[in-house]
Amino acid sequence: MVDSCVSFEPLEVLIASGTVRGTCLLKNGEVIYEKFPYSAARLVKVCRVVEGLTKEFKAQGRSVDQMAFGYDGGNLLAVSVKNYRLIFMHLMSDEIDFLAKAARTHLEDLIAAELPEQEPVNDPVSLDTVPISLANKDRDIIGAKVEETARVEILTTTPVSVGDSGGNGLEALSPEGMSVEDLVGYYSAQDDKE
Amino acid sequence: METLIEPESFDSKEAEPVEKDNRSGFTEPITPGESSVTVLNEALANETPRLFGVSAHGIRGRTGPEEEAAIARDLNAMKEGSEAIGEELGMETIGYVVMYDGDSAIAYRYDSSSNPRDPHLIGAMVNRRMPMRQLLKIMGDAV
Repeated sequence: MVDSCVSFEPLEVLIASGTVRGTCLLKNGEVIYEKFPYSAARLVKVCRVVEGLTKEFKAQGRSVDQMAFGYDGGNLLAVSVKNYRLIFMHLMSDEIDFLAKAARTHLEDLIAAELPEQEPVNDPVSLDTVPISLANKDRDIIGAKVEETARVEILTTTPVSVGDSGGNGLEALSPEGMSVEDLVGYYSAQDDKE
Repeated sequence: METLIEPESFDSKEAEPVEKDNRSGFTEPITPGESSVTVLNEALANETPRLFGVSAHGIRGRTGPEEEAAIARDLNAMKEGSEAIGEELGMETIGYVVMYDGDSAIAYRYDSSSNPRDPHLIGAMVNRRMPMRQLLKIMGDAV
């Protein structure tokens, strides 16, 4: 069962790069994506061994989240983050750490992509600004976002304050804030009151 | 395990700075002025790998029998797992296994210079998530 939010493009890019010969993504112990140069039956057995090793250590109160195996014909790397596990078969052992970082980043992205479905956020403004706030260089962007939000609030509340201020209000109103029909209706109502 | 893989298949060809801590290696005997506890404490304080020599005759390290027993248990599980995976993938000649266990790393690597009929392993434990490539390099240099 493949989640609609899961993107496999990064995995395909890694395979296309040449050194990664196979990849397998598991969620809750279930294979949800695989491109492996072995039969599905063999792959399942390999995954079971990896799961078994992890459980073996977990039974001792330990947490093994990354393991690498080197053989004469290739290398196997398994990285887990929460309920996801990514397994790579690659040729060069020198690439273990790079591939592990790529795997971890991809898994974290998958988990982050799942969050909106599991925990709906009611405030769309805060949803937009969360990823931006992770980088310091984007603080100006956050400022602009907040400023824009404030401007929208002013535009929508201006008609109320115009009447209170006693002026004609035309210079304070933005064309985007009130249509011509609205303006005619507003001033007709004012005239009726007087 | 009848044959050993060639070092070129998993050694780094590029020269890179390598942390080397002979004091926590397994080749040097403990001197009269130090004990396995001091060697262990020093390795933990410096976050350097504690190395162990493993063969059919037993495990020898410099950080005490408790550590030797601990890594023996881990290596048995890792060896069993790696052999099972290798059997499925048709790659029965194992070069190494490395694992991150919380904030520490455990590894073993076959000593390619040992007798294939009586292969020796290098085991390692380090109390940080040292880059796996770096840990393998240190173990290779310790052979």
